[in-house]
Amino acid sequence: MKFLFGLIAGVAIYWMQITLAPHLAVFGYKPNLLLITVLIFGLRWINPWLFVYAAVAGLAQDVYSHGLLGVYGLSFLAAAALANLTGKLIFEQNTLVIALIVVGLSIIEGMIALTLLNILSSEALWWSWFFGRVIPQAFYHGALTPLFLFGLNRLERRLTGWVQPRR
Amino acid sequence: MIELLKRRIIVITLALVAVALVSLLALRSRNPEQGWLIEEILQAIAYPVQAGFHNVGREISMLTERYIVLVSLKQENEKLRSRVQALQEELNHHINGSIQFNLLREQLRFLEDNPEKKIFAEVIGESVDNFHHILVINKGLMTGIRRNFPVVLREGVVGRIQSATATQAIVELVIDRRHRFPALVQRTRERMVVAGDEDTLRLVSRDRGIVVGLGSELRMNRVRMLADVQRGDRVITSGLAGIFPKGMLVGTISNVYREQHELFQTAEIEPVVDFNKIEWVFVILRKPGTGNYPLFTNP
Repeated sequence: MKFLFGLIAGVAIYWMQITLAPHLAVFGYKPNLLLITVLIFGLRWINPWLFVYAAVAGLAQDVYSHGLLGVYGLSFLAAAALANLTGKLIFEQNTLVIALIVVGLSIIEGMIALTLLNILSSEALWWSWFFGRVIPQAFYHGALTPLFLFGLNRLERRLTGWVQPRR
Repeated sequence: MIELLKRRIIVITLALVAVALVSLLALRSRNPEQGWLIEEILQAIAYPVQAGFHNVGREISMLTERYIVLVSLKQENEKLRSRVQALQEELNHHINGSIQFNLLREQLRFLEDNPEKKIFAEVIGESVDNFHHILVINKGLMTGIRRNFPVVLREGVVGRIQSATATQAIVELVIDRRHRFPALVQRTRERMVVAGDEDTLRLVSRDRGIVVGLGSELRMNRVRMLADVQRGDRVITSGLAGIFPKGMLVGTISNVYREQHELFQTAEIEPVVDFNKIEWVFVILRKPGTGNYPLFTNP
């Protein structure tokens, strides 16, 4: 039942990403809703399924962008692992701290994705895309994080006993 | 052993998923033509919602447009009445021209009636990241679409098929940085390579610093220094790369960069197609095995 609910939630976020995300673009920067959820889940919960979710979310992103399956898969996986580690290190999980961590981890995820793209495709412009796209998008993710946390907290209250925050 | 596995489940899962992804990436890089089940599944999950969302969005926008039209209808009606009389006179002049138009339209119908030549597809989605320029269309393998088939509009070239599943296909736009194809300057027949240049940041040279571009544009690289390339020249496909048929309009040259110390000049092209407003496209079907294109006239 828990697995089924997780699966449905994951699919719903995937649908939101492919349909709503382009309409949420600010100054042409589309948010990555899948990445935001991967990071927030990684910060809050320790669960091996998180890595499977991160990998599948990354693959979904791969399918609807460059088509090289595995680039975002690996960068999302690394971001999830880093989010897990960061979650262990931080003492206070308030909204501002989580938003700042999401910004930082989004930047790291972007760096990993760009590096992989650069290795696999000579057309990637590392510095230009990093400063022109990754950093603005990371700050956008930070701005959207409180909304996601609000939704997640409500969901947690309804489903107490299933998803236990780390603390 | 089982206790150890349980204690290390996080690390083990992470390592297994990472190995699976690296293997997938390696296999995919080696053989990009091959379709993957995971790709099919992810697109199959997305398709109904993507198509539904597209249809609902279209209906809402049509409803809004109709409302706006109703509000301004009365004022517009008055203006139109006065224009009708002037247009009656103009109509006579256009009748002669319309005879030729009808002949051309019959040719177009002939092309459209043959389903083996090109397929009409609706755009139902776009890239989910900020690096690549793709479109998702609602036709796929079932209609005969395959990887690398050219995607066009009446106005000009749009892109090529990046990948296709049974019900949908992904189109890599010509403005994507990965896309490059040979072209001709229509006036001088000068040959060159056109590359996507959708970046807002472009480093021209050290002494000039970073140049902020105008948005979605195309760039022509390695143009001979002596080549006669001017602003306003029309650029057409040369048909040499095996993707686009010859003679399709790409765009007009908006800027030419010449540096005395360099061997080549660079030109920016303003595409004829507005990539932000594409709602539908035509996919040209190639005959399997021949590599040839069907005759496609640009009406």
